Amino acid sequence: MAKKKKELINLLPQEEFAASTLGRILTWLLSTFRMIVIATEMIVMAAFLSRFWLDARNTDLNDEIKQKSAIISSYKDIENTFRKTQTKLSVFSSLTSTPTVNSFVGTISDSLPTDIILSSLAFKDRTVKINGVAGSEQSTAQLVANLTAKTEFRNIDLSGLESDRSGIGILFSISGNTGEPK
Amino acid sequence: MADWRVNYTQYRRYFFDIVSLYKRRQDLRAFLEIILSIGTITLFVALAVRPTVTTISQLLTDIKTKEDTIAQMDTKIRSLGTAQNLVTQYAGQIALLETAIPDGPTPESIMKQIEGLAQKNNVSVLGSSVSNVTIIGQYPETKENEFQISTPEGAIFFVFSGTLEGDFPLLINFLSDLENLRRPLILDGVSITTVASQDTKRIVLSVTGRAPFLKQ
Repeated sequence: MAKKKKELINLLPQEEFAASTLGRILTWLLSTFRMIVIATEMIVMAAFLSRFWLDARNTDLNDEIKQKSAIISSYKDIENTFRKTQTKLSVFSSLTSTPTVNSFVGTISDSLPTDIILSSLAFKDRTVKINGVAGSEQSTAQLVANLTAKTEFRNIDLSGLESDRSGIGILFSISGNTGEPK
Repeated sequence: MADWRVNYTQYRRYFFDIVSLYKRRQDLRAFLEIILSIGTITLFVALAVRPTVTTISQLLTDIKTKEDTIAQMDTKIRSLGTAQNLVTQYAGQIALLETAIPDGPTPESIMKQIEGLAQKNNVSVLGSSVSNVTIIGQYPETKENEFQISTPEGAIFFVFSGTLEGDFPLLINFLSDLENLRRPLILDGVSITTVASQDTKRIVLSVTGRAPFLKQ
């Protein structure tokens, strides 16, 4: 019996194109692009669906803002009162934080030697002018020294000194600077 | 035979050749499918993905902004609640503050207070005056010698002055009371002078100052 010719059976027949390099590259590209197309479609669908959720969320937030705006509007009077009170408090505290003229007068009174009589006392624009009659030059010097020693006054000067016409005492004039009076 | 018939036959043959070529050659089919895939992706990206992504990013930005706004509104509502409690709690003091820094100049109250303090301290009022002040209507922005906006908080002042006569301790008491009024006054000028008239000597106190108020 003649030997049967051995036949090769290929159950996975490959076409000539699929086996070639170009064929493989193209097949790979095709399958990749298919996946990209599917992914793109999924992205489009996801974006389309997510818009519903985002729109709903946006509408909810709009409603919430309207609601809270209404609440804030209802507090308008309280807010105005509070703001005005804050302004008034800051005005009040800024106006009451400076020393008073009365305290300067008290300091000058305390600094006066016994034989000095004041004829005028004036405060204006952070300056003080004191005019008076002293029993002696020493008293005037003492007053200048006393005022210079006080922290409330600066640049104390004896700006005038002359004998009284009656000859009883010495007319003096003292000027200086104060802290900002109230 | 007409030219168009020749051309028609010729082009018909070309077309069927292309179709048969497409059916016969797999590489051609593959290339065509790749080109179609690229076209589809481009179409999707240009017409669907890009506008949708733009819209979604805009929506997300809006949502983020609105969430921030709501957070700020929540904070404000909480602060307003606290403010309401404080206003209720300190209603008495706030009423006093209204008299200290009134809404509007109320120059008559200063004049009354000067007269009242003069009576209290037994000193005589020789004269008192108030600068021009708008009692009703719009306040001018700046008008020399009338309004001075000198505090950063925006308080406005009107100028007043007074001349009083009396004993020195009484005048000092008057000055002390004037400076301790509930309404804080700025005393720009104070002078105490001895005025000799005939055989007597009088002590005269002159006060020039500013009284604060807020616009109504």
